[in-house]
Amino acid sequence: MKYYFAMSIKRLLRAPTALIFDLAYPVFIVVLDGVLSRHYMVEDKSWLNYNISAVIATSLVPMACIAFSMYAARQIGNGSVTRLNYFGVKTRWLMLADLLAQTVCATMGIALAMIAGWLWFKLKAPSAGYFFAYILQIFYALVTIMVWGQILGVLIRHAMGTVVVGLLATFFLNFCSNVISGTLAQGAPRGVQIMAECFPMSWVNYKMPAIWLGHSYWASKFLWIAAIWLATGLVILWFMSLAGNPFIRAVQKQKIQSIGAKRSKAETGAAAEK
Amino acid sequence: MHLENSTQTLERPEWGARETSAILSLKDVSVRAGGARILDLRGKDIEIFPGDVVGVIGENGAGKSTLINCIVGKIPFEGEISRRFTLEDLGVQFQYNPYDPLLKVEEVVQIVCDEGAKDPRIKAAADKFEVSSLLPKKVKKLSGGERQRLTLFLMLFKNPDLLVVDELTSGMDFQKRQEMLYRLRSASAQKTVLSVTHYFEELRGWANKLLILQKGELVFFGTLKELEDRYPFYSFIRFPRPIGGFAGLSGVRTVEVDAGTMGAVAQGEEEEKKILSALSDAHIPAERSAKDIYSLYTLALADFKEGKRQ
Repeated sequence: MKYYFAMSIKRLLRAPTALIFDLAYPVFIVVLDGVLSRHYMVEDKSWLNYNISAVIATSLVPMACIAFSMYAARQIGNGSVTRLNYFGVKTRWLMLADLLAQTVCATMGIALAMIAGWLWFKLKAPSAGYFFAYILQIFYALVTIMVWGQILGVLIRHAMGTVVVGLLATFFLNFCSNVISGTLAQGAPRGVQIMAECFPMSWVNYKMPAIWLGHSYWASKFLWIAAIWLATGLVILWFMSLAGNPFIRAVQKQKIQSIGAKRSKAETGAAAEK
Repeated sequence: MHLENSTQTLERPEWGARETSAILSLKDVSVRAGGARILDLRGKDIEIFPGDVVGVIGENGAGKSTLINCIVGKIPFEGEISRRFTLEDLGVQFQYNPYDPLLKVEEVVQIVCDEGAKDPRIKAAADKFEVSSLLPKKVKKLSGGERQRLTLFLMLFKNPDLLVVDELTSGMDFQKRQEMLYRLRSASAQKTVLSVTHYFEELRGWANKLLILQKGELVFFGTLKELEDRYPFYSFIRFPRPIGGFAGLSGVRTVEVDAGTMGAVAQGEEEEKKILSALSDAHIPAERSAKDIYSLYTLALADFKEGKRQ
């Protein structure tokens, strides 16, 4: 697994889209938000303290739906996963390694954005308890949306296709955030509001500021909704990873009796060394 | 590695002692693509036994890679394929082997071999396959031949019992081709092999069975001996197709080798002399070959085409 993860993280750091969306984009959004609201203070706090959750949500959605889905699609679409499958490399380990690597990079991006906000735009961390609760729930949201970004990529299998679908998903999820807590909160029909409440990212925008500002520890509705999305996503990914190997797909209905004994590590490599 | 090693012939053992149950059976297999049937083995049974080395040959578009892709489960097909091997038993070298272009070769090696690139076993094997110098390179920088070499190395490192190789040596220069073949042949002793190739000499002294395809249909499947018995000739003489025809070989069987080449079948020494003399008289250059895979293939294909015409 260590090789899979190391490979995945190196690969991710060599992908320009991943670098832009994972590391540069969150910092850019913080800088943009900070510059535009630099004279706007509420109760001695800069506006960024109220808006940091929206900034994070705005960063996470394209990170998952565009960058990560494109990255996952490219790997499946270029046939390299299938090639590795025939060497016995398991799709589920590759997918898990990609998910972990993406989670690490996205976390780094969010951390960089928060540091930029703290350095330049008076972003003040709440007390340790609230801060810890906030980081934990942001991480939870991050993992949930990354799982769905990966599902998009594996389903679409075409980099340009993921860009189109990812952009639509980004607009849609931002619209949902606005329906709950933004400019559309008052006027949207009830049905649209109920639909918007079904997406965890809407709640990041809506309930997380209260945690950052030290008013509450948990966004309980967010936790439940994200749990449903995360669990469903992981189940879908699991089945996708099983179906990813064409040989396994071809022979799954066939009772196979192996012609060879199980190979030990010492036995593998023997033929190549001859 | 020295070239003299690479050209040595490795004879297969006798086949009588082999296991009796097939490792791979195909029955009525066919593949459709874009409305056309690109592989049609309906009414045909193919059985491959442990220890068989099967040369899969045919023209471009004959369905060789399609057949291989069916066998390894890469594409859907109609009919029945029974496999008595698992993924762990199988080593596949596709015609095109894509690796993620963002990866370095050593990273691919690490995840396939599940060892660090500095592991002594990997280092030793990589040295032998001349892959060591490729390790720090990005995969996208590899040439076609280097990519094939890397794939062969990875495939043989896993030590599978069934090797499926689709045009291993395409894109390699002569020396690299000989070296790779020697590596494959050395590692394939006691293993079952399906080898797709356009270079018939690669199969000489190695393959015990041939599977000949033409436009998706089966021309021949059986042992080399069976094919030799079907065409009991003395020698095969190739010559450029004479412009305006040539009547000097009446009574001799001639076949079309390719668009610009004809072949004459000599049943004995006397007939061979007669053919060579007739061609020489007409100032037509001729090339004689003994009974080899290429001449047997040419005759089988000619008969198949003739049968289709009738």
